[in-house]
Amino acid sequence: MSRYENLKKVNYTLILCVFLLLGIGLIFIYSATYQREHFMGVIYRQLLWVLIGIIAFSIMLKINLKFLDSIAYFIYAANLFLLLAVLFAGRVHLGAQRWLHFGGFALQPSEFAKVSIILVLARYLSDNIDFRDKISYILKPFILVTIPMVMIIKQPDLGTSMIFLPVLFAMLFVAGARIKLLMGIVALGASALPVFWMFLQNYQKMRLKVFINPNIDPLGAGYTAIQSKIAVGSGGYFGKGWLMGTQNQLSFLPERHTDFIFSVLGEEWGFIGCLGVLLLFLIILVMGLMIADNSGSLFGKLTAVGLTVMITSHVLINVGMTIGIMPITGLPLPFLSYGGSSLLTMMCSIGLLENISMRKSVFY
Amino acid sequence: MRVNRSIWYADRKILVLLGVICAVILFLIFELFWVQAVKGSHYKGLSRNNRVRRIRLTAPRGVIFDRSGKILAENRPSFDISVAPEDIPDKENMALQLAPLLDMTSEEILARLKSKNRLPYVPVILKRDVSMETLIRIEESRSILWGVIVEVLPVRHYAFGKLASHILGYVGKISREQLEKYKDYGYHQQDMIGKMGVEVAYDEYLRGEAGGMQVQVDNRGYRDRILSRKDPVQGSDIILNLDLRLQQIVEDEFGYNNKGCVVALDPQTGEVLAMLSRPDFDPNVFVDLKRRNEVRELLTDTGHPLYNKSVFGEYAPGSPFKLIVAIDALESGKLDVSKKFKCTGKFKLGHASFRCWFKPGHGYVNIINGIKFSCNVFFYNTIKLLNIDEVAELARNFGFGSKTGIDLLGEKKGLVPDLKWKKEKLQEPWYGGDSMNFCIGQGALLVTPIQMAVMISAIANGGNIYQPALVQKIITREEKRSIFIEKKPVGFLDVSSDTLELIRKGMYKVVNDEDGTAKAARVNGIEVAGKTGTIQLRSGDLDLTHAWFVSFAPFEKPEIVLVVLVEGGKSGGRTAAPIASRIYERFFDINDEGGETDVQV
Repeated sequence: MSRYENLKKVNYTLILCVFLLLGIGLIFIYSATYQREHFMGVIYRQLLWVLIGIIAFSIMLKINLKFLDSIAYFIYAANLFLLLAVLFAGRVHLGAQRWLHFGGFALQPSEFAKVSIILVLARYLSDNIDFRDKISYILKPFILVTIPMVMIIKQPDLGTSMIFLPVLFAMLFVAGARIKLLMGIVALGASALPVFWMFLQNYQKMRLKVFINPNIDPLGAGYTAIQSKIAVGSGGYFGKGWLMGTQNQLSFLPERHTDFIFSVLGEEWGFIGCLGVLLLFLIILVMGLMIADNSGSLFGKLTAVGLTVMITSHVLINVGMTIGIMPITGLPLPFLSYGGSSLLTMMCSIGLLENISMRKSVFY
Repeated sequence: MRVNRSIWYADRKILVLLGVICAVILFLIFELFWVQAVKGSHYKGLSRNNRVRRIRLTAPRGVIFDRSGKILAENRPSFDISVAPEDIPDKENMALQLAPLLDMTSEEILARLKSKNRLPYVPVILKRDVSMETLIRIEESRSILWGVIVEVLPVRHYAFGKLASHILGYVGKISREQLEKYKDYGYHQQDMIGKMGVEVAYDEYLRGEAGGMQVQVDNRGYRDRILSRKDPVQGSDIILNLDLRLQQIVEDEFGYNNKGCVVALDPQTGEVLAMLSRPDFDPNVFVDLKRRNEVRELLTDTGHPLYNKSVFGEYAPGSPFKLIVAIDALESGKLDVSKKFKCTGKFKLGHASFRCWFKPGHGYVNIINGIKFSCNVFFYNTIKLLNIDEVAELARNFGFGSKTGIDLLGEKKGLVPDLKWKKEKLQEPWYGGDSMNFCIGQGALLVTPIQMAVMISAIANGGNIYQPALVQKIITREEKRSIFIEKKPVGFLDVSSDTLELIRKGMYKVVNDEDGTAKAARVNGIEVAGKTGTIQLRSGDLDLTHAWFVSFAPFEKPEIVLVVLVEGGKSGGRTAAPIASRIYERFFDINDEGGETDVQV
């Protein structure tokens, strides 16, 4: 197969949408940091991450899926090791221990866990497809997910850990696990929620309480939720204009170039801007599902489903939290939020999707 | 394996997933539409409230001048030191740095900063009205004192302290009752409002119009920019009829330990040239926070220093009332100059005996000498000839028993008794003894010193009753327009000029004859006419007397009416008259620059 033919199979719609989102992200990181003294530094760093992201994307595009399949457990183990390292040697920032520092770079192993768990699940589920009627077909992946999830909750990073469950269910569902068993597990999980509550840190409990009623602490934990909703709501149909959002420019919005970038977008570009961005995400997600459906291998198909659902969960949780329909968790908006690890993860994910798309007709 | 196909022919499970994902995105779009499009204006309002603060800009009050344009009450800047606790990284350290500068302890500062009642991001005022030295020291250490804010507010300042304090009054924060009453007139919580004197009577002119500013602030309350601004308009200036030089003379000569009051009127216009009430107070106490403890002293002082005796004090008129009895006697034709009564020092009425103040008796006295000696027996005889109700009516025509209309709030009316009054009030008939007390200005009779001054003015000017006026004109700042306070008589006495001349002659002799009761009021070069009075207070065991001296000068062409009342004064002639004499002497000496009043400019 020639190189040229491969490039023909690249899904350009997907790439176009991703780059449009990256561009919009940069525009609003600019706006969100505009009031800072050396705000261009943030832009340059994000541009650098975009470049690194493109390299990661290219590597993921080129990498042999079969090879990835074969080393899925190794990647998973390595990631577990990194998560363990974070718990013992990570740097505390904003009340959470999420970062590992290598030279000048700070990495968030929990970000990469999103991909490594998808890979290991895809590997397990495709390897054991013949036993899909058994309970162990559901339980073993569950254990695979739970180990890193608990480590991530302990960091503590509730948002990231919340991503894994929809991903796991979607992959089990598509792989063909018994739906009734799956439902049973969901019911069991729901009944275990009070236990789960006990494991939460105080600030996480507060966030959930505030999610239910932000006004219980309008200047503390509820402040962000209230200010974000005001920002988005005050944008109206067409927004206040780029760099003109008062909630953003007058610093009423916290974390506005990272987790709350969507609030800035909502305030300055209004409903029209939000609609555009959500439609771009929808195209990406539909493309992801098409790639899954057309995948030449079960491993590829499940990986594509996992990645698509992972991105969907991010969008739902992040956008939802800006308008108060989701609790506030430190989960970035893919491609738009400032942050290297998240961007790298997302670019790797898109690279993998394109890889699966290219190799759909390869016998495997 | 499979070939590329459209999503519509996809794996059913993938289709289910597609449905879920589309539902998720549509749900988000719907929720955003709800928040942004449907509830957009609600959140726009919230966002505006977030960033826009309204700041009231206090209008400086109008300036109060004396009649020659000297400033009596003005505004000075007050520098208030506040801090924004949210901006201070190390509160303990900042408190330690600031404490010596503000003369506070660091614990006090920290307590203020950490107060539970304060609003977030609103600066906390640590000290109002700091001295210039403190201000300079704070400005010098600005680089290490983050978050320290200096705000400037206009604050009332009374240039001469206690001088004319009862006329000027003072200002204070608007009370809840005042706010309730005046809020439709644009008064606002925290506003300063006149509490006494001209400050309250003319508050609507003096207060000006507060301005406002809409500023855009960031999340920490820092001003980002001014959205709109309406400058405050300073209140109108007020020019008083008060003569600062005379006021200073009056303040000096009354004697700082004496209690009582002095009123000086221009008899030709009713203009109040000077007004004093002792004990007095320094109105700066009410605006100067460093002197806050003195306010309580003033309010609890049993001498009631805030009370303006000239208009709120009601006293028996005493002997000056004899002038009214004399006028009625002459006007009714019951008496003329030739008629004499013999004073033996005693007067018998039925079984009772009434004494003249001069025990040996004055011998035969006519009406002029009756005034000159203030002979009680002469007037006991006279009042027997007269109709009490007619004398009371004449007294009312002189303004007794009703407000003079002076431009101060809460003036007292006094009391003129008559037969009907006694019957209604005490269910008793008018006895002969009542007449005896009445004719010498004692008994139920009550007048205020300002009423007394109006009466003497009418005698001096030929019968015109003027409404006393503190304010000469109001100069509005916006239109540069002057509002003059009208000076026309509010009443005229139906008394012949011959009668008044006779009375004035008697008053002249009181001062200028060797045997007059007020020869101590004589002034070289100026002819003063007057009438003394010494009243006895019946209440209490103490043998308390008040001393009156009412007068005008110069005799031929009266320029000034002076009423002096010394509470606890032994005798009108010996206590009050000399004070008037010294005041006249210095007032008519054009080289006199006024007193040594404690000037704090």
